[in-house]
Amino acid sequence: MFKKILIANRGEIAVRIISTAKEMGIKTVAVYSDFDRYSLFTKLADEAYHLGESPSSKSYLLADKIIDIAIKTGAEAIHPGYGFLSERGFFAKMCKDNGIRFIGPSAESIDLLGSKTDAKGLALKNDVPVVPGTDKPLQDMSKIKSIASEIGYPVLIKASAGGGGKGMRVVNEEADIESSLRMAQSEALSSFGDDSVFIEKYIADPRHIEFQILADEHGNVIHLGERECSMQRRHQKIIEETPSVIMDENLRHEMGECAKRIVKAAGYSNAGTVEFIVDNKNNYYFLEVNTRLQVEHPITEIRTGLDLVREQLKIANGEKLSYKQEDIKFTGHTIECRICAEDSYNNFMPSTGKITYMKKFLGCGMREDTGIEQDDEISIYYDPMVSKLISYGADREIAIDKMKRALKEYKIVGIKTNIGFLLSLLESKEYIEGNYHTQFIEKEFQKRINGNENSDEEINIAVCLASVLLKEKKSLVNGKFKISSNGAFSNWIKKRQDSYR
Amino acid sequence: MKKFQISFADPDSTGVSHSNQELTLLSDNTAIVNGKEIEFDSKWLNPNVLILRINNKNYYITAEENTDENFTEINIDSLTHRVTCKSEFDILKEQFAGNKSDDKSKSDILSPMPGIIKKMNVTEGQEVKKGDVILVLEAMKMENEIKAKKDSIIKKICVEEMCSVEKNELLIMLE
Repeated sequence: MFKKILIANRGEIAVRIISTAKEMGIKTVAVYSDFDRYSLFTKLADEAYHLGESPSSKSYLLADKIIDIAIKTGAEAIHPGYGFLSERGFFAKMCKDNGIRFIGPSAESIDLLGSKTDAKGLALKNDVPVVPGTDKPLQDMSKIKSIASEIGYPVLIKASAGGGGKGMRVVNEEADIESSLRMAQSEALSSFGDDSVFIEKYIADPRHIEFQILADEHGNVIHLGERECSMQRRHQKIIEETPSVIMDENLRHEMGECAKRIVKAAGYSNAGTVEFIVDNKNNYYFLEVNTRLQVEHPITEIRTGLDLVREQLKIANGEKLSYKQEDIKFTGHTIECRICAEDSYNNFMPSTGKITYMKKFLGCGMREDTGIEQDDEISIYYDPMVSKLISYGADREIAIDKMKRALKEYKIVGIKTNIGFLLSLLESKEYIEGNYHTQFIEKEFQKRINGNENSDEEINIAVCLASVLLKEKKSLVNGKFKISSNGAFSNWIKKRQDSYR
Repeated sequence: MKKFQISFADPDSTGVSHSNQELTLLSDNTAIVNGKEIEFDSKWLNPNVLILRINNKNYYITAEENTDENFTEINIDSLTHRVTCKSEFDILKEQFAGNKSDDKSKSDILSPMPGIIKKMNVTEGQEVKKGDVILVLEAMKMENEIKAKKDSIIKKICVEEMCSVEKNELLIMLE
């Protein structure tokens, strides 16, 4: 096994990787930006080296400098975490060219799966369903009409140069296609100067379900079950769970085998995630492969009992998988909530500042992955995630109860967080019934969050008293006779104040 | 004996108060709230963290003042309650000073954080309704919509698309 590795990342994922490395007797090298000089992960690592300024383009994305530090410190391998350089084929290649193991797949697999059209082609070739549609841009009306009726309505028209919902139209029936197409094309033409479009089957309100896979360099591949990641806001996952309420043995086996076929065909090794969208009739379609460890990997670890970082290190070291598919047993239910520094009541505006107080009561059945401590600052430079709380229990209800309790007891001062929002999601009828999809928050839930309809009298009394005590404490600190610009006025105030005693 | 008036605001920061409560502090551990006498015990763990025991019932509270918008956020069990608390003296002072309406600067739009103006949706002289997206600010790798907090008219636009701004920089003047 490696004697020393470098972690080319920061925050909670760097902490996560360092923990497992330590458990395996592997020394760790952290690299950090100006901002992270004393962040938790730099303190936990055996060695820490400065990379550059706080913006990631001047620190965590400096591939050359990271490779130099690895060579200088004698690190035999680099773990890229997620984000930053983790899915950059060129970085995997640079590692290889410098005799350093990249803890992840080969540059070739990253590039192949990173291209959406190549990945889709690979899926089709290996009998993995993809969303039916064209992969070539079209302009001709009659051709578009015949393809639309072939794949069946509703269909989605997308500008080939598109983005941000512009030039996008859902067409529910054939009668509407000509007018919708014209509108999409004129929008596309004015926004992008190109009126060619793609057409594909429209999947309304899909779920996002992904499969964790592990592949070694000897052609062995296993899957570790699914993660239900449909609770998203603006494509950002917020709550993940496993198992998915829609999953049964057969579907899990079928989708798991699809995931395995794709990564096998890509010559993939190490940990990876195959993403699918699933419609309301449980038809599933391949979306893409994430060629790295995912943020939400802990729920898979808990449900399978495996340490994914340990498996990644063993695979990168050239070892064979120590588990066969039939060895993988799933137990219980686990949920992850991402606590983010944002103001849910103010359009989810990121919240920056210093955390002046932080206290949590995890208790039985909870895990927390975080890279942040009290007195740390949340900056504008990196993503706003403060912590990942993970709950587990014998069944879904227990896992939800534990998560709610831990969220209520998570105390944090100095920044705003989405904890209240997470709680209201967990308490929504749709979440409790497991009846949600990727559009749920934007289409349904966001309307409900403004307005705190609590009317518990005891709580109201506590709120009133707390606000009074805070005011009293502050007036003591500030001194009693602050206003002095106008002598007469302040004397009058003094008199009024005296009368309060 | 000190009297206070507490008004509860909706959490979406529009500042609309929907109920008022009265609290009279009798001593360090007794008070009357809406006519009901309560006994309490309190300890500040830190300037913003309060352990409150009201009639022996426990509350573990975090409390922060939002000086920009002049209210206090009281958080119990991760639920945030926005209130403004005025002493009898504050109320008298307000009456004495006359009903000065919101000062002008409050209706201007300041940048809530450093970032880049990604998109400007308005032009000078345009009327906007509460909730309209005025501009999009990119920060922390996310696009953030800055919305109008009330119906108003765009008086002056002080920034352009793609320019970077500091926290609290004046972006838009409103009328």
